[in-house]
Amino acid sequence: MIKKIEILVINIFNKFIGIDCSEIKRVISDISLNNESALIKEYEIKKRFFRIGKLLNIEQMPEYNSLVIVDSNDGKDIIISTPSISEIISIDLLDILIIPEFIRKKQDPVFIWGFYKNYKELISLITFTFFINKG
Amino acid sequence: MAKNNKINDIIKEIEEGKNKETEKKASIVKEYLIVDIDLNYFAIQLEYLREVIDLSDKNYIVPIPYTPQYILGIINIRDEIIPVLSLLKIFNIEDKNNNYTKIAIIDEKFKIAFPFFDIIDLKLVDINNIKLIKNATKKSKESFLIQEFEHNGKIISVIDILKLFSSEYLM
Repeated sequence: MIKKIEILVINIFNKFIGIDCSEIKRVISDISLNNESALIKEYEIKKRFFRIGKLLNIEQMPEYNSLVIVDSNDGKDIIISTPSISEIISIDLLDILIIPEFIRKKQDPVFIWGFYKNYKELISLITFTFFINKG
Repeated sequence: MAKNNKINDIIKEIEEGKNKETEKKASIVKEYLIVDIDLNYFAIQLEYLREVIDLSDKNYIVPIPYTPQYILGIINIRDEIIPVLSLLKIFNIEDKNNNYTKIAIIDEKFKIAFPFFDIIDLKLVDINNIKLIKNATKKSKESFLIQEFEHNGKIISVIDILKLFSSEYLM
């Protein structure tokens, strides 16, 4: 039986980013409605708050309106602010296109680890392992 | 006596002609794709070129953060992820714009791709017409461009693919 993983997909002006749901503790959407500024402030002080645009080096970003809390298993969770979450998809591990070894060696830290072709779109699969372990 | 001289002359002429023919046959030609990257002209030996693809909505470069500047990202070609590199950045040449329209896939130890503006020509070049670039090391830090030839009044720099693949850039 082929193992499947669930991916949370974020659309950044038609560039698609996927986060493995096993890394996620909680997703808070519509942050403006829920007024999560206190939570953001708390994580900003702890230097464990990141904007996805900055992590991906993307200058122009849609409005941030969701928070993804990434699980560290040891109380060192990080919070990522993201634009709207598009969908959650279930994908076969065998369908993942792994990043070439050459890029993996040159990428420091390893952030994009693979790709998934969802219809015509290529979803970049990212991991926050480094950012969790850093703190 | 005069008749003998005439025969000798004819034999000499034939021999010279034959030598010229042999010289012609001995000349080795290599086939190059000449491309334009921001008005810099480079030649890629066809032996290493796998294909040239138009960049489009279907074939686009996906940037990879936390990589050196010369790595522009990756491209998905028929479900194969290929690293995309900037030759200008590797050659230490300032790139003023990035209006790339095409991408060349090179295959040596592994596949890499680099984008360019336009194809100038596909040309057979006699290796005798390829010259060493003066001060090549000054022109390019790692001297991947050590040879050049002339084509339609333009100087075309030959990319040393083997040297590139054995450099720190691709290790």
